[in-house]
Amino acid sequence: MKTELNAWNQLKGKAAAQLHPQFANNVLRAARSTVEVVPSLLSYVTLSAATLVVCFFALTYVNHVSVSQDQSRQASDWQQVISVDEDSLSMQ
Amino acid sequence: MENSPTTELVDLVRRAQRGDEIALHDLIVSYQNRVAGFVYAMMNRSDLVEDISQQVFIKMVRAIPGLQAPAQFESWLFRLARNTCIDHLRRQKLRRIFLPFEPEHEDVAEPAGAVDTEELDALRHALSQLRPQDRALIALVQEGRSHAEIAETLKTSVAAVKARLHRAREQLREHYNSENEN
Repeated sequence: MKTELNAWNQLKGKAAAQLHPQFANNVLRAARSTVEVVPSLLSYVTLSAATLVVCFFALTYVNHVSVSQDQSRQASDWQQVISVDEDSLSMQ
Repeated sequence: MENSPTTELVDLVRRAQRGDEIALHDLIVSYQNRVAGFVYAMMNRSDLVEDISQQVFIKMVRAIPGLQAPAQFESWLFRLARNTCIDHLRRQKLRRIFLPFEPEHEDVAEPAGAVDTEELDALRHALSQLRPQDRALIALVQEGRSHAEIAETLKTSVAAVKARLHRAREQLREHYNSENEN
């Protein structure tokens, strides 16, 4: 039982020896900097909303470009079909 | 510091709640060794003691303005310490699932010149065999907390604390003696 008590005292002594001599000052400095760095819930929501808006506009733009490319390609295909038809009619 | 809250301690806590830096500093200095001992008993790794103790006191500094009963400061502080250690152990467990380490990376050796005595080695081994909740109970008793204070810290009944503590002590003694005999 006495050895267990000694062991506990050694454990506490060793734990205390791990702390930096300026531990309290370091904690206070870290606490102040953590308060400044931690983002608020509002900033998370704002960032999420901004990301959503940017993604929406990017998707709309990509969709618009791809649709207009498809339309111009289809229009030129139809133009070719019409010109082939007109050629065959004039041959007859 | 005495176990029963003195008017001096209550006054110090009230000043800290108003943002008095000197009072916060004095509170940290008064409790840093006790919290470090508690953290070491919980984590069983000396290299984590300073980091986790710092996390406990940062939480204390940020949450102390909301402490309703300054007389309950000690119970509240050790509850913060216990929760911080248990959170850390849970994260460690999760990390092991997703990032399994090689055995040589898991068992990081103590720094040179930090060889433990046989007694301390046996105690550390015995503590490591207990569940974190039981380690917390034993460490709180070692900090001189009464059964009622531990029940308040753990949000449970005094009878439950007594029963769990009895079991945990038995297990600790069993592991300690077997390790000491080896």
